[in-house]
Amino acid sequence: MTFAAVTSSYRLERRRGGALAEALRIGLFGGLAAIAFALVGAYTIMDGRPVIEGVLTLAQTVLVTIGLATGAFGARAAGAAPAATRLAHGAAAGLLAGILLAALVLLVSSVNLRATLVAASPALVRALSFGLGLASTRALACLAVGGAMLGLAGSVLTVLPPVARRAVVAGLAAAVAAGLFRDVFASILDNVPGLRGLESAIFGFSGVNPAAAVVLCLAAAALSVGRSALRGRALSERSIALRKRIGLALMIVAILALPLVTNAFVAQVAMLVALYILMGMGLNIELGLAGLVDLGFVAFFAVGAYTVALLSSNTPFAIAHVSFWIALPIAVALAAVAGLLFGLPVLRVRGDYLAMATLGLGEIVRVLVLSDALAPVLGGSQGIIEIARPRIGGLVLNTPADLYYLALAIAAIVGLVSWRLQHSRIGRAWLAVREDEDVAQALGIDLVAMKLLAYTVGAAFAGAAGAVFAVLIGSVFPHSFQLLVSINVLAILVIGGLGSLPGVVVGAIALIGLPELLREFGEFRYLFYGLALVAMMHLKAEGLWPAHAKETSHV
Amino acid sequence: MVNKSARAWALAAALLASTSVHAETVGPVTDDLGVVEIPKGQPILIGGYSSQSGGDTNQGIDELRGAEIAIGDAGGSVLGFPVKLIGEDAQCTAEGGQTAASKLAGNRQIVVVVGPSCSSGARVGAPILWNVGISSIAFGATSPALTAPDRPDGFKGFLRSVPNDLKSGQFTAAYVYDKLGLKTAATIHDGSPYTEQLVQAFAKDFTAKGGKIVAAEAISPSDTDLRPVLTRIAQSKPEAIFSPVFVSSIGFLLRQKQEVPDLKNTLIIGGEGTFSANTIEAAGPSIVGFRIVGPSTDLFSSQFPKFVEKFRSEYGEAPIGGFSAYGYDATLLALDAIKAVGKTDADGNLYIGRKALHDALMASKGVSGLTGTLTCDANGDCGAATYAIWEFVSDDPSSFSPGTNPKRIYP
Amino acid sequence: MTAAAETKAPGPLSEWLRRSTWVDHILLAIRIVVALVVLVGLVGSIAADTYSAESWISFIVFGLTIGSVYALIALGYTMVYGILRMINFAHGDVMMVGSFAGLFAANALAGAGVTSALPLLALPLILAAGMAAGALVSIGIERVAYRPFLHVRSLAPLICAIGLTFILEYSARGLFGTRNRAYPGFGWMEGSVVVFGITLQIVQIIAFAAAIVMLAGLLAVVRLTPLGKAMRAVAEDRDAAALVGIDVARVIVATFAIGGAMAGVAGVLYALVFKQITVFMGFFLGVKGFAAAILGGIGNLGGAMLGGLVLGLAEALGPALLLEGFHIPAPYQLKDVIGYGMLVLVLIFRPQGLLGERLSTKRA
Repeated sequence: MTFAAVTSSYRLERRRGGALAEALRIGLFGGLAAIAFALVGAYTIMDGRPVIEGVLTLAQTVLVTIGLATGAFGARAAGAAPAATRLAHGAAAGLLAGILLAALVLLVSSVNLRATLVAASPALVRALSFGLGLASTRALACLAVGGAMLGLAGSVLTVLPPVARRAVVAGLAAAVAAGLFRDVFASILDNVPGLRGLESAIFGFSGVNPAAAVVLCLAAAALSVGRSALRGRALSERSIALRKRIGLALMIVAILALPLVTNAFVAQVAMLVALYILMGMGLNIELGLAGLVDLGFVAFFAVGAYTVALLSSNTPFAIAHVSFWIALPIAVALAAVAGLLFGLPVLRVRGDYLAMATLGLGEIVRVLVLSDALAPVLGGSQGIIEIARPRIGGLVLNTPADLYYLALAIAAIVGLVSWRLQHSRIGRAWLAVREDEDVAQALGIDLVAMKLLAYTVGAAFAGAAGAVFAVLIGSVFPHSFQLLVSINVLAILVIGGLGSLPGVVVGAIALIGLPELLREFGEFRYLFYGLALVAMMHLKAEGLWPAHAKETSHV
Repeated sequence: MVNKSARAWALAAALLASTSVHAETVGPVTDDLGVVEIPKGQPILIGGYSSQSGGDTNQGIDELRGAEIAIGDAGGSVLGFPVKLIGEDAQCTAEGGQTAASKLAGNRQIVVVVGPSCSSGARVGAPILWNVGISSIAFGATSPALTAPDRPDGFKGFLRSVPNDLKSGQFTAAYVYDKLGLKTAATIHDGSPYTEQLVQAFAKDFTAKGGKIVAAEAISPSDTDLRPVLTRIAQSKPEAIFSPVFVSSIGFLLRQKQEVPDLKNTLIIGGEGTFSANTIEAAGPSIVGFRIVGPSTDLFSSQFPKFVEKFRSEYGEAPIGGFSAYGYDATLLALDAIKAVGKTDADGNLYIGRKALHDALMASKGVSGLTGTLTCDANGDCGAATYAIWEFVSDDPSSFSPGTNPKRIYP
Repeated sequence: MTAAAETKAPGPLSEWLRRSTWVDHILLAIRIVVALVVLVGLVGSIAADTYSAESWISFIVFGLTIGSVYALIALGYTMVYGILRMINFAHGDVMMVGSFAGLFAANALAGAGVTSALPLLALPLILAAGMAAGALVSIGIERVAYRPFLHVRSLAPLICAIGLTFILEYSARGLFGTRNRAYPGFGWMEGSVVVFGITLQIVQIIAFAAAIVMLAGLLAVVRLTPLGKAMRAVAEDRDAAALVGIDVARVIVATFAIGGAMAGVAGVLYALVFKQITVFMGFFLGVKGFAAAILGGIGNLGGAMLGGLVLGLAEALGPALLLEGFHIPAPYQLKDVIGYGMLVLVLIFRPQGLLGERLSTKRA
């Protein structure tokens, strides 16, 4: 495998300057981050979205977070210095960041930069002057001093004992999350009997109410302290296992109950997550287990979707009118055949070459589906519409919630199959192929058969996802089968942890669920998605829920 | 307010569970589809969904910005209540439209929705919104099926400020065949449902008149080298090329046409997607002589330049494509309808009946919008739908101003 | 497949049959099918006689022009890959940044009157701006996406680079706006010359020449300079290189910087040829450049050049040469099918690419 880099014992050390220089360097980065945030236009857009009603907007939340982080890192750079020094360093870092932002405001208000930087607008100056007069001395001083205060606050966090630190962070995070995910929580309150009265008490029109925010903050902090107290006690291996099991059970309950207690939108998002879980489990077989990088995975998804469309649409494109339950296995089978066919030629290709070959095949499928040449059969860019929804007896699975359960059921079956495969001889053979093809071959593993099997099974899973997708949307359009889908599935796998089934679930929630819930970011959604990808990889390079340690430690 | 919204929820659930309709009475308003109550001092929420990521970003952002400017022009408020636009990203895909529409449908305070940009999104999005009683006014979805007389019930709440492709096809064919007397034409679309539909509509009407489509080609929006495809078209020597593709592609097409000898004098006719200053920038000197099919009314000619100026001062750049005006008009219709049906009680709270709002929207008549006078027909087509051929006469992007550059040459 | 050549008796065919597996049979079948399709397509296209000789020559010129751009992008990919064995997925967007830097430099120069006063000086300055921006962003990418993961084996760098793709694209969108930007031309570049009866745009010649010059320059750096020597050592064995006193970190940074500068040049040249740029242009061109690098044999500089040109030619010529014969509607819509199809076929039958080094299995 080449995407997985060649291991090297060589590590790079960065030369570090003095503590204060380091703190100022961090302040510089903090300032640049704030400036970038303002200049990409995100500040002015997000300033219209309250997180805590009348107190804090989304834009200000981001700015405050940058300030706190600058202070915290600035203070941390001072290492084991006395608390006062650390606080001073943190404040200095924050001050520098604040001054930089103030300098930006001054610059934007005095020089017209808009020919080059479209977001350097009067509206930005207005937003960053906080009603203290456009770029007035007071406003600029407010930015600088605010930066210093936030830096100080951030550095206080590093000085606090861990229990208190965790409590503060948890409290702040809870208040912000409540405001950020207002719609989700509000819909839960709305749907759970007895809690309805709470909705208007806690939430305003678009954010959380200030009083409720304080209460939530305190509650979360208290909870965190409680947890810390529990964590202090030594835990036996058994109780750890028990806790893990309880966690898993809670997760399953949450997954099952989700659409019941929320609204159609959350169900819709959950549905998309379930679809990506299906695809993720498919790619997990190919990449996670057998080590075959596949950037054309979306092709199998498309095969599944188009098969169902052709078999159960109400338009002249349909070649048959069968129910979903007949179309589904056909879709899965055809996707598997496609996997086999794709697998055949690319079997001899490895690593990056395989990535490119599969990417090419995926694009070929997309272009063909879109093409005028095949439009008489596949509908071209107009797609195929009016796909019949699945029925169970007299019940039509129509709402996102219904289809969510359908996808969940299929995902459960696929997950089970996956799990069985992974822990069978085949699964071990795949792992051997992933680790070292030559050794695997020497051990008597049939490389060709194993790779083909991985391709076929993975493709079949993606075909199932495509089939559900087709009935979810009720129509298929070629534009749904972009390269981006393949990339997303790959990212889910790596973020979750290669080769780990729960990792697929966690990865899909993190990469599909969260961005959908953060639709407020609108045109900046993918910017934050990119930042999240980078951040997650830096925090946990091995994934959020890595496969069993035994399997990864020597990888 | 809690009880009201809870009741609205119950109603929505009832609507989903059975098709029977129960009228709801809140404050002074009784309505079959439910009532939105806006307490004094709170904003009126208008939802918006458009393509804000992916390949159609430009168009989608333009449209929502047009909507924001319409709200700004109304002083940011209606009936003394501030108006707030909640924009969602629908990409330009069916699943994007579905998710965005579900999100908007989940917020019971949303009075009406403007959008989406693409027909694929409208196809799944509009019924979701209508299912909870929300009318939507599209500013970019032009597919004829969406406002066909036999459209399914789910689309009854769907209107649009952008004209239907069929009308544009008829007009363009008439211009090329009847006015210019050209008998052969080639078409190029970019694989998007919108451009393909336009090309098909044109081809159908052009052939019906007795013209001949000598080449029907397609490109991809990410293509940068169109010379091979132009060379191919040149072999069949069309007298005109109809290509309603977007700004980037038209830029490449016009510039590279110069390098294909046999096409030097072939007329190129573009679509509304390129009605912007940015097209001039993209195509450079080769823009001169380029003709597009665009909206035509005196209103449009007189108001659009002012709109572009506002847009530029607000967002730092002029609209990129030609659709921002439809975003403006869709919002205008929405605001007018809210004004017509909103009722306040003694405490100053505002009540808007969903059915009443829908009826008011469908009854919109003679609204002076940016693209012309908007009147909605029984199927929800509200676009002014009077077209003109505009010709670019200068390659200076700052000279963009409908009337002088591009100049209206027909009718 | 090559088994037949190795033994003499008892007849090559039966020997091949004995030693080959069913995979070989299928590969053979694919070869035959592809050969037949190509043959029928070729004969049909030639019989259709749609195009004049001039058109064919134009197709080749178009193909070489876009191919030169692909080649320039591919050079950057290959450069980084050769040293790190990692793909810099964000490379296409580095190109976009370089392109924008060139645009701003060009506008500034035009504003300062340099372009009109010293037209021959302006171009190198614009290229330098593109190269500098490309190199800077590329170094940033190395810091964020590659350096932290040098000692772990995972796909983390790839995912980080994908993340950076989004960050670069959408930051540029927010910073510079979404509109298409016209690239200023230079008077002397706008014309065309006639060589052997073929009309060539001067920019096309410049793009092609630039690709050759860049290739030569890179080869010179890698083969002749101490840095190049260090690069080769790091490429061979990073740990051993460190042991003999090579500053591995610096070599890697230098590699990224050079790769980024290549992308910057590609961005500026692309813009000079195609005259307009947008913030989203990097992604697809990056994919094409990646394809070209793989096609030529990744890690091989000459291969990147060849791969770029071959891919460009396939896209420009393919539809006319192959699909015309099948009377397929809108054949140019399928040019990517031909481009990628050719790529896949080359990889199947020559897994190391056209000029690829025969990698030892450990590295592949």
